[in-house]
Amino acid sequence: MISKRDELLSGFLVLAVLAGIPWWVMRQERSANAVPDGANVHVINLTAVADGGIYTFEDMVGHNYWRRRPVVARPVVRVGEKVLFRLRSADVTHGFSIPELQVGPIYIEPGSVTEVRFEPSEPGQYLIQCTFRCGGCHEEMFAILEVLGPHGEPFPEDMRLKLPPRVKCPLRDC
Amino acid sequence: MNGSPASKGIDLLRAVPGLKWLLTRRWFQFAVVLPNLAFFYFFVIAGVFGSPVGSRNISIIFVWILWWFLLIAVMVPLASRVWCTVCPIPFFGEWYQRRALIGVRVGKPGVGRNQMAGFNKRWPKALSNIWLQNFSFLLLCTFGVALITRPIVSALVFAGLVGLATALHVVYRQRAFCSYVCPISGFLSLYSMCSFIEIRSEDPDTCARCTDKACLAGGDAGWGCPWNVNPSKLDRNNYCGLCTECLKTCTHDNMTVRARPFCSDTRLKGYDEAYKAFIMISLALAYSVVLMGPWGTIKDWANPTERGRWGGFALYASALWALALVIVPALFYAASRLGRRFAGATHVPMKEIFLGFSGVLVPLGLMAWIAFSIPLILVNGSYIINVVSDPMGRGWDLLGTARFPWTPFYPQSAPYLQVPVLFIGLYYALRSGDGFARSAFGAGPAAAKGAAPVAILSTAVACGFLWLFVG
Repeated sequence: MISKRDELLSGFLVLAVLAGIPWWVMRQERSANAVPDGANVHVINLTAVADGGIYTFEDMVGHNYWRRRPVVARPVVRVGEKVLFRLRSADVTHGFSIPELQVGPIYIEPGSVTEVRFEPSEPGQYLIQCTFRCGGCHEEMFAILEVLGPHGEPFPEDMRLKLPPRVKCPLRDC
Repeated sequence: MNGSPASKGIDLLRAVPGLKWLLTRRWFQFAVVLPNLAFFYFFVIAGVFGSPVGSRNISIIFVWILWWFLLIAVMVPLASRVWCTVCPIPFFGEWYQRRALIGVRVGKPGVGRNQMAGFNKRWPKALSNIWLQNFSFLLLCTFGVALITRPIVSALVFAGLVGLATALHVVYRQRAFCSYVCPISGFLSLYSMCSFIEIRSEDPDTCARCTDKACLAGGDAGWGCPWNVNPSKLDRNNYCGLCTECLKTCTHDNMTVRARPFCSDTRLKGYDEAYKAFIMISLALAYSVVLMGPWGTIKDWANPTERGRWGGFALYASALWALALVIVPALFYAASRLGRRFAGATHVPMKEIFLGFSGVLVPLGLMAWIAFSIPLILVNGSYIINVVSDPMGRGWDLLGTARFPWTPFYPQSAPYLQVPVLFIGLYYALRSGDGFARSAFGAGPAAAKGAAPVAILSTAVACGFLWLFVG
């Protein structure tokens, strides 16, 4: 026989599960991404992807990793700004280094967030490179960090960086 | 040989205090399914929105490492189809059909005495077997390496199964999805024959005298058997989903849960069941080669999502289907035919001999799967410690163990566990073959001669596994 009270209670429990789990996931995600001094820091989220050998701003998760190749990131910061790179890997262990700024090299392990902080002092373009052999595109896994002047002034032309052309892993989306 | 309503065992409802009270509560199944539903739902979310890296995603580690090991090595041997008791896949479909999560509806329209929503159509007779389950499982396992390594593939399969189950519950009566479609249900039905427990009637005479048949038709106290089997006539575990409704509905208090000897059910009743046994042993063999063997090329072929070798995958898939559907059945047919000739029993129909001897693959297959799963849990089990703390591979650290390093747990002990497990499987296989030979050819030398070819083939299969596991 049907007890209205039992059915209501059990229905409520099911709804609590269906609504509660996404809520809990979002809450955990927010707290994991929280930066204590976030207001004073320029936070840049980068994900390293072995397929294509790129760093991207896009959050590579289950549903989008297999659908398309993400767009290559070109982070822009300003001189004197406190910069925090929050680095993830979408697949394998990668490396991260900006040699001219003495940032890294460090490992980016899949399934965790690796943080790097620095404060650029000179405007210009700087090479970001993977320092851990991550796959067939490793040798071409570069990105450019643009450092503008303290008020957003463009950097001098002679500081422009030219990346070697990609041969093994040409870019499709940019 | 088969368990029967009259078979003896330990009546667990009497032996375990409180068990009968628990199993006959209407809220029991809801209470065990709800937490499982929560996990399952979370696994889908983790597969879609979590890390694409399998070893960092709970949907892979908990399902294909932990759940799989618990299912095949613990749940099925010890508790038959207890997974079906707690399975969340048919939850929404059943909720729709019953329009109740705990209570029972009586009246029309419906099935038996129970009022049920939906079209309540009968499942087509031509599909009232496990052929669909055989093919769906084989298809799923053909893409198995992608399934067990890619969280999104797992999530899509989980969500797809829930969607399909719900749709079939709307159209067809009771648990048609579980009985005839669910790919997991097929092998659970086969290997539950080996389980230590069974649900049976306590006294067959009471059932014979019963005019009420509430266990089948339902009543005020519970739903008629959702698996559409007649609980009073259960003589094998295969199609009993342990939903415990018959314990609740029986007006004579004549249904019980019994502990019994391992592999008490030995007979396969149709080609669909025999083919399930062939498919399962073939898959165990193929997975042992792909996942544990030293052959990198075959590994690449089996997982086309890794390097896109679709030509190699076509070759791998063709070989797998040929092995499961042609080569292994043909070998068993040949061995059975030889056995019949050696026994001088050409008057016994070949179908009976073939099905009878195919039963040897039930204990052998179960034990081969357990042996296959042992190194998986030993080698990869430490990932469980990571993912409980960071279930989506997003950089969380709920329990402080997210960075626990991958640590194989005594992998060198795997062969010492695998070998005895395989030998136990072979022992029960030989016993099953011998038992069938005695019943088909009579006791004495004829039975021994009749059983010999299948015994040799079973031993060869076990040796093949031994070679793959320990070299």
